[in-house]
Amino acid sequence: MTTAKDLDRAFSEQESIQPSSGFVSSVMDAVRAAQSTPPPIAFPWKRSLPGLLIAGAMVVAVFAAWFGSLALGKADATASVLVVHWFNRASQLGLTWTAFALVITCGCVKLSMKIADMRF
Amino acid sequence: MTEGEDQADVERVLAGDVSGFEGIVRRWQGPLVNLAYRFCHDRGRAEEMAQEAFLRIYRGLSTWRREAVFSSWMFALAMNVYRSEMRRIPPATLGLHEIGEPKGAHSLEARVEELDRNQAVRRAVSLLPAKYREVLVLYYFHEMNLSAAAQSLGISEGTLKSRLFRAREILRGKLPRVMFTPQFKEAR
Repeated sequence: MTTAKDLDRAFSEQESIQPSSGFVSSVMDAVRAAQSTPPPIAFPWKRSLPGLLIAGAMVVAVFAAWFGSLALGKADATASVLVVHWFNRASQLGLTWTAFALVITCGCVKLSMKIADMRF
Repeated sequence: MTEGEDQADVERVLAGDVSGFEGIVRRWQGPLVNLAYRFCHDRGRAEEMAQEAFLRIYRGLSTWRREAVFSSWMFALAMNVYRSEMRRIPPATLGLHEIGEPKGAHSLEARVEELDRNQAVRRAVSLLPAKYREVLVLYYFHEMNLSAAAQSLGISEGTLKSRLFRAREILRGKLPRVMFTPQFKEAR
């Protein structure tokens, strides 16, 4: 294949560079500096897991109830009543706020990681 | 460059002796700086990218699984750094329409023509979509070792082969003037 031969030739003749003499010490300085700074606080996935699981289970339950009612041929109104009922129950337990707080926290963590990546 | 030396240095670092990392840097500085250079074509930036890669390698040493070859793991990590760095600040390149045909084909020696053509090919490669560019750069960086290139990219050999094929097809379409001019056919 002509292109392959051209590529082989072009890349086999590509120049190699030597790292500058101070490269190793520069890297080691950066490594020592990194070692002395504390590691970033990791997101508490283990702690948030129960809340996430409960929120996920609730969503699944609501959809299951909704689809169940549709399958039984009930009117859409029944489904919306069920959703409202589950939402009220969740509100009583404070789960909606927990889920909301978790979503906000995840968003903040993602955003800060993205900003940190852009700066460094 | 022996796997044993790398492993011994990693053990030292994980035991708390930071200076053990210096051996890894000394052994791998050339390959990592050169790999970065093949993406950015800028010496200073290549060293900065390689330094960042070494930092990530240092921070991630505890995640290296011993059943994986250290160099493969290291190249894969470095590639992640280079990939995000190239996305952040793409290298200054010319457009494909700006890639000129070799100058004065009738008056210059064949060697000069070849150098021109090689440069044009490399420029064209630098303009490929990232996933094809990476495959070509890694394939030739690892001296056409499919397995090593695939491991560095974290993809299967089959995927690598299909991307290589596609990359060549794109280049064939983009560079017909450079690749198939009569003087080049004669030079082969």
